[in-house]
Amino acid sequence: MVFSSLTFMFLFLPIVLIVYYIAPKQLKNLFILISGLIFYAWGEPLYVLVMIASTLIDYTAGLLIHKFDDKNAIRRLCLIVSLVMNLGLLGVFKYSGFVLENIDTIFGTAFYDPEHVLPLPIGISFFTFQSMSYTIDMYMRKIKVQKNPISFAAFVTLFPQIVAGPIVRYDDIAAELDDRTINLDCLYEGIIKFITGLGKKVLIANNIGMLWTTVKGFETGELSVLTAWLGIIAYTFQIYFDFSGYSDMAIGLGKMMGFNFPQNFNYPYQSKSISEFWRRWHITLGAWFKSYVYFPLGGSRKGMKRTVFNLAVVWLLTGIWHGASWNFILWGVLYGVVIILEKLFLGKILDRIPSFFSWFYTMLLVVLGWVLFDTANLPTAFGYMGSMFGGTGILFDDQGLYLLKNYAVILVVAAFACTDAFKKLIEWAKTKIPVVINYSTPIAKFAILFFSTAYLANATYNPFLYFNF
Amino acid sequence: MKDFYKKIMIGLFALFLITIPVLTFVYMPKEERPFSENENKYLTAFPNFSLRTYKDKTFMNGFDEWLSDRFLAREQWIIFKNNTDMAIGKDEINGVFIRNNMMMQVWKDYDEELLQKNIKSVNNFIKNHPDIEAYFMLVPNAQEIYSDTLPAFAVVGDQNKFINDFYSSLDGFAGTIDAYSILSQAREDDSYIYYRTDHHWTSYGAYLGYKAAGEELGYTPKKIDEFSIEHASYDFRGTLFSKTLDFNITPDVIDYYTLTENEPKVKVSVYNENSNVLNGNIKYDEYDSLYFREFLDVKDKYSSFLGQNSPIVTIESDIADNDRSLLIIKDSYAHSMIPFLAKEYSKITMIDLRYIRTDFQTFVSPDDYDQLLFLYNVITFSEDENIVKLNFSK
Repeated sequence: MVFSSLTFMFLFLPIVLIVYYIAPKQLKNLFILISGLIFYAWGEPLYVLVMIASTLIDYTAGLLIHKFDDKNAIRRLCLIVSLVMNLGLLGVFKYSGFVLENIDTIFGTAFYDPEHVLPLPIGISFFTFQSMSYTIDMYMRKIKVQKNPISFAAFVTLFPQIVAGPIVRYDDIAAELDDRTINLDCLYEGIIKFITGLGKKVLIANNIGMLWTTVKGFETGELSVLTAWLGIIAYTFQIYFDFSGYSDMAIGLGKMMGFNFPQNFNYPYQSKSISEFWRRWHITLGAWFKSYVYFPLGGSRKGMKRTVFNLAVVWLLTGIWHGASWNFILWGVLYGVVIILEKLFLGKILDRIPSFFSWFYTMLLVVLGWVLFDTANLPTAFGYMGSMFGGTGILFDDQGLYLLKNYAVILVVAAFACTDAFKKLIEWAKTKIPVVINYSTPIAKFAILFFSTAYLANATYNPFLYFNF
Repeated sequence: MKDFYKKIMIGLFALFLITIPVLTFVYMPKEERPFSENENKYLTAFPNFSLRTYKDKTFMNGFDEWLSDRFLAREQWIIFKNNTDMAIGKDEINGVFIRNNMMMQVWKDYDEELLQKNIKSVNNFIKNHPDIEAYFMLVPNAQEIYSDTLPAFAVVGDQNKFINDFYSSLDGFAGTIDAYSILSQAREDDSYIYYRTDHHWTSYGAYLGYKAAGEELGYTPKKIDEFSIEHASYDFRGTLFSKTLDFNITPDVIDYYTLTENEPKVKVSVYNENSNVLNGNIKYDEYDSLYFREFLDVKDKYSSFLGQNSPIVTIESDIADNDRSLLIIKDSYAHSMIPFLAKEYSKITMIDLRYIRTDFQTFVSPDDYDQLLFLYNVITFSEDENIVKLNFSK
């Protein structure tokens, strides 16, 4: 099930919240487990079994690591089993087709059969990473064991964050799994966050996404400069509002249920370097790789050469995590190269030049990165970039002007909404006229909820972008 | 009451999320598949639950659609959304341009591969029937004739060019009919040739088509003042209205044209859906009018022209001193032109390939007719995947 559907909003969510609130405390986790399984099975009727298996194995591994605290061999074995199992699931479902395809290209074999490709279970990259965090932390003795299987299963199947993040680590919500309180404040904040995310997804991302879909439908080699830029700027907005909207909805739902999930986005398009961008974009993924790959490899404490190597590994993995294709790998590698360069010398230059230029440099790379990210293959990606820089010799045409006119309002709204200007304005106003701001917030949020419902009720275009992840 | 505004937010949210589903279920129509007049479609039935429909997700997808179709005040939400879209500058609403109190179906592009396939099918058919005197009439849509009113910078397909290119790729035809010129001329005079809320041409538009066709088919068209015009309905909201639910556009008028003198008597035979083609038991329903007035009482008023699309319809008129016959392979644009053609032919048979699942020559033999006319509008023809059925047996 996806959040931005009528079934979720007007059937699943109200029923689940009501039952959840009236359920006695000791049954709440069981109910989370049940509702999470229904939520997941709605989109993945069979692969819900994969999730259950992954949960059972990680739960057992954690228990054994705890029980054999002084037997290092057994502890290590448990960790390895958990890692092999989780990464194995990812490997089989996500990467096997890609690997076979490339083996075929290199050796001229015919292993890859497009007719029999395993479909990718929704959210597999998220829930495997989440549940792996538990066994790794158990092994590193960072957390206490979870003996209650229901509570552990509730952590994995907690429906707000199953399908598209944020990547909530066991450590993040360990205390709340056993004991949490729901009060007026967290309900209010949860609703605000949820509606904000819903608006980002349904009103901005879906609408601007149609512009990108339209442009992608044209012949790449015939795009004017204007059309090509409009298309990729539209995607730049779409992916941000879609992804951060989903995270906001998840965080908001978590709050309504008494959980505090980590923040996942922090106005990434305001960044003044690529390193900063990745501290603001999909924060929980970067943090995961930092904790479980970069630091264990030695981080930046073992000299420059080793640091560069460690960064290279992390960024290669980041690229691969996003999807099984050369586009994603190249996308990750390019980010890795730029971040290494920034670490070596570029960062110092960016600090010194006027901030507009460092922002422009960052966004140029990010936008070009999205071309790689969302085109079918490398030739298409480079063809598209060619059109962006005048490869077709047409600066603008009616096609581009028509799209600009049709999407001007939504483009302006999106550009404004991806900065923290509005947030700052509200915070400032709150110090001057707190009552007005406090009371207009519910009205404004309700309006967003109302408009979003209208767009959901007549959804001609409501994609789920993370099937690749 | 420091935090009262928080309670307002929680209250509004809870109220919205609870009342909408409750009222949705309270006001839900009881029928399994109710018909939505305005949207012109049957709502989806509740999906069956079984291990199979669970495994292949047809249950879940069906459930989502079932709920969406019956969502509380669904039409009002759609209208609200479309109005918002128009307010923020969107020129197209669900594939429709809304300009100057008129809706037009948007046609931007076509499938070149499908077109080539269709050209081949048509040419092959004519090659296999060398004795048939065949004509083609491709009618442009409102978007083409009213291209001067389209939104600024809109890039749309050139239907005039499409028609001319298509005509020049035909082989073995006795003639092609130019509807474009006469309709463009009428547009200059501000005539009512296309419906404002529907994708069809009006009876007057069809009259002009009949007039243009006469030059090729060889009859002398009746003059417009030989007809009496009956305004059968003033509140027709058609297919494009169903796509946009825009109530601001003036509803259309349905006009019936009959000859003031010597209107011929007709016998209309419409293929009965209960026929059994396999054992040759083909049944027809008979009518004695070109106008099926029972459709004036429902939303789909265009179907009062010889009913809804049917695989085969035969119209026999008792015209004195004339026993010419015409076979028409067509889409629904033909329906409003037949009342005029019925003054020129004593027998007309309409074949709709989209609704025939077998070789149409099971029903009629083309060689029994004096002339054959293909009559399509550009949009339908450019998307039609049924033209291959012409050569069913081959």
